Amino acid sequence: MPSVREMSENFKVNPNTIQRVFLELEREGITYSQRGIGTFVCEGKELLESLRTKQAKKYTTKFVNEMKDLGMEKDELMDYLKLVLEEHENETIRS
Amino acid sequence: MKLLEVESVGKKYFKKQVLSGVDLVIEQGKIVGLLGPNGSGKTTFLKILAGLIRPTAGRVEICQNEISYKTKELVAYLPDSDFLYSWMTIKEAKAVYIRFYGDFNIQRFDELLDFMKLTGDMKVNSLSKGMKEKLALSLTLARDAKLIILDEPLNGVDPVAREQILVAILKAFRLESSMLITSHLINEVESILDEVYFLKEGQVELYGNAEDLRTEKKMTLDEIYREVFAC
Repeated sequence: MPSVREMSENFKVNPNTIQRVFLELEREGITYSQRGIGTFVCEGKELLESLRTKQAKKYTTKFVNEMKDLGMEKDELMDYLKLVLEEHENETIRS
Repeated sequence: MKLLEVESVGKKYFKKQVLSGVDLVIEQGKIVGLLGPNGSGKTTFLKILAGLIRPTAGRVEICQNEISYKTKELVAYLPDSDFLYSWMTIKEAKAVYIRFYGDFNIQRFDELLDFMKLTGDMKVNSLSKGMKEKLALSLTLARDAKLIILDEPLNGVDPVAREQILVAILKAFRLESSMLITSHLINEVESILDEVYFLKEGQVELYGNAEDLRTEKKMTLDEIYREVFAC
């Protein structure tokens, strides 16, 4: 990971805030720090997989909630999902 | 460690009460925002800390020292008005600061100047408002003072230059010192503040840790500001 100072200047955020973020990341087991050397992102398939699942669920929940707010039923929602996926596929084929 | 302790400070200009019962504490290693509309007493308060005017009530201690010529060594103050002689070049302004302040860090000043894209041969009266602000800020931030007070460092500066100024402030921020910054551009300074004091008609209306306030009120500082100062 970049240093607290670097992050602070890049994001224009108080270094104390970045420090808190680093602590939080370490507490969640995403990073580990070595005194005097720096902070490193943990390696390991299991951890990455569980983070990926968590994030994917979050995005999907958001999507479903917003579609429901529009009054979509399950079938309709699936139709839109398929439609957009197809459009994506077509675009990648063309490019 | 407490760097600054202010207890029930008041200031009267003749009959006009400008500040009353202001309590404020700044711990070491913090960036604190003093926020409030025009005429709320921000500049008066900073002038008291800088030792330029005396409070008519209350107590101020900087690193356990009452305000005196001694505390002037501890405080680096950026006034919100022009204070550099217009006939000077940047190099000359730097020389004045070196002679004036024993804690002037030449290396940091040169780095800041470089970052601001200013050069020593430029004349003060040829600088734009934004460039003047950048120069004044660089001179102030180059001091290894305990308490850095910046009066409206973003005033009259375009959006790109504002970002530059914010980065410069973060570059110069040292954990063994603290900063007190006034601004009414809350959005711009929001992300660099540890703590905030909202000053309304010379009194502290609301204060606290920025993160705690946001969590508690579920609002950004900008939104809180609008709520506090709504007519």
